[in-house]
Amino acid sequence: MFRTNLALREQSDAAIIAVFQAGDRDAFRYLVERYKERVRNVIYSIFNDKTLVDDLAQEVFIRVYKALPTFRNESAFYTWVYRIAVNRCRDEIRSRKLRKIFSLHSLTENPDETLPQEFAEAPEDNSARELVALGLQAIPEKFRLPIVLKDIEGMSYEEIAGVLGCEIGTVKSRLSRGRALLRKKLEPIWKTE
Amino acid sequence: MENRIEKHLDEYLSSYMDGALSELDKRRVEEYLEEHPEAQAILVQMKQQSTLLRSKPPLVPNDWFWTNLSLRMDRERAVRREVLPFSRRYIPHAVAATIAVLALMSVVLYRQRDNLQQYVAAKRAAVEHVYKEGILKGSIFPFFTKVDKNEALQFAVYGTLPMDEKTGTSLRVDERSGAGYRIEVAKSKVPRARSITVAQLCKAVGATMQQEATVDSLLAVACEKIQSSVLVGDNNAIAIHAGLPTLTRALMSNIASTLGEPQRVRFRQFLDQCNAPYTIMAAGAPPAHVSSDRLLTEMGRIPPTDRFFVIDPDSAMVSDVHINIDSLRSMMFAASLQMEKARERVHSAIREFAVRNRQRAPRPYSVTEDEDRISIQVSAAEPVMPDESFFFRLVPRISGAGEGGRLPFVTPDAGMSRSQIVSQRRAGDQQSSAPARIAVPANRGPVSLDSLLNDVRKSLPQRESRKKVPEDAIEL
Repeated sequence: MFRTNLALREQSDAAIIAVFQAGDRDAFRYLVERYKERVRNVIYSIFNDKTLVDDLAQEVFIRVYKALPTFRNESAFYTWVYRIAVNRCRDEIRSRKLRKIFSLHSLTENPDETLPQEFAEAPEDNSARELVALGLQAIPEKFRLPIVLKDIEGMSYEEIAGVLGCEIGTVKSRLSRGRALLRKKLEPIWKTE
Repeated sequence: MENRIEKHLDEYLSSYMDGALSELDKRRVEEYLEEHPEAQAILVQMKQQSTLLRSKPPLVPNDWFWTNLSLRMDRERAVRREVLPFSRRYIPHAVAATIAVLALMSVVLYRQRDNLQQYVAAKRAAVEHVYKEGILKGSIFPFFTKVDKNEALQFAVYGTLPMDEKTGTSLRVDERSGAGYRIEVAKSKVPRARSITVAQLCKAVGATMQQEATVDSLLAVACEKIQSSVLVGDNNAIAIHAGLPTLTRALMSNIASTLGEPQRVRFRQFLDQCNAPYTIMAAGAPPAHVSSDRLLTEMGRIPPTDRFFVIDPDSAMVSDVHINIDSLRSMMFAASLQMEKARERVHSAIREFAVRNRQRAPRPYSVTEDEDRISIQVSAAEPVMPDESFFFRLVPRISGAGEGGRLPFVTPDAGMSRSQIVSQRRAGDQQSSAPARIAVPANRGPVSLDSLLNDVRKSLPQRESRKKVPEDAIEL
């Protein structure tokens, strides 16, 4: 019952997907085990909020499971998973934004517009790393996602274009705009150095 | 070229940092950097922020992710299965049966249409009464349950209705810009407009008693319109009547129509003082006198559409739907009654089942409780996973039987000081060094849990009861 199929676990994505598409739904587990941490971390990078990582990651894999029977290996599986994860994150961002607008008792400020107070003051107990992560939350989603995929996930322009569904030129310009915005948000840090 | 780099400095530096420039561009950027230390500083900052982002430690791996995911997927599958209370192969039969029933119902309804219309007409008055009292049960209800006349006047003048004071969210409508009309739900970033009241308006224009009464009646109609024009659902979806923007224009026009010419001038001045976005201007020859009855009739007819825009905050979808507010009220009322009946039926069925089941079979569990404890004892007949399902088996390491011949529950050391915990542990270690034991099951036939526990108890040395060591006896 708890034994794992070592042979399948070590196979390529395409082989596992073929087994899954042939009807062995248990093969999905090996894809999840392989990519769960990457998906969790990309969600964490986008939101900087540990509390919603697992919930969103589960939703991403449920979407993957539903769509996998029709996956045609036209793009790399991990790019495809990232695309689903990023789309789910976009939905969440839009939903949060709207919920904030509609909320009758909104308790949080809009991260896209303002930085938290502690960020502006740059207290000593917050490491620069945390502040940069917070700063990233303060820039709009369309500039934030390319930064996460490039600077944190280390993807190429082509891969980012595939994940975000846009042209490479758009990726470049959003990346440069995003980095400039982030630099501006982080001005208090640069000034203190 | 230098100008070009200067103009698109961020883009060039970003691409330079990623190594995505051509050799020529790379050389030019490097030359530029040599001559411009401020650009060098920007590049350093970009690199630093990129390094800092990359150096953020990853999340602690979640070893239970697959377990939780598979449980969730099982739950979702179970919910989908529950949608169909029969096997999928019966779907064609079910569809055919449904069509037949619908056809039969259509015939019956068609024949009974006169009676139905009478029935609906008779119920409408009752439904109206229920709605007005705000007892619209179900998932949709008016967003603005109470709009006063001052708010209605401000809506007419400014086109905004505050929805949430705390977040500054407001509903804004604008029909008078000439390019169609606009409905917005947004966090207002503009400074708050001056608050105005009906009394101020009447004073400013020098309204007579009769004019005041007419304005008051117009605003009363507007209040009702606003209340039935913005609906909210359980999921925070908001339905906004497409005719709501027209209401502002109608209200302003009708207020102006109640006034005489000198008063209209003062009305314009009032609007100027309020910094209102629009002012009034006669469409043709200024009306000499319009009866209040006519104005109220006009107001009652506006807005003459059943079109609503539904905004769903979760999916960010905006739908353009037609809702007959009267039929909606009827439907919601009928649905609430049905829900109430169904809930009652389910409750009585559960009660009946519980009573019958209790009479037929003994419960597979017993519940005991005393002052500080409630204990549920499940009988051994309940299915449990056999030991063979696991690679390891847990055996007791604490000697001495607990209540009822079973091992006692062990509670954590919560509530004790650190020194107490350490002293107890040390005392325990001195008296007995029995380690936690995990035994690989021997190859023998099935063994009952009780006999296994007895075997283990016999094999363990009998401990003396622990003596509490004074806290100050141990140095930390």
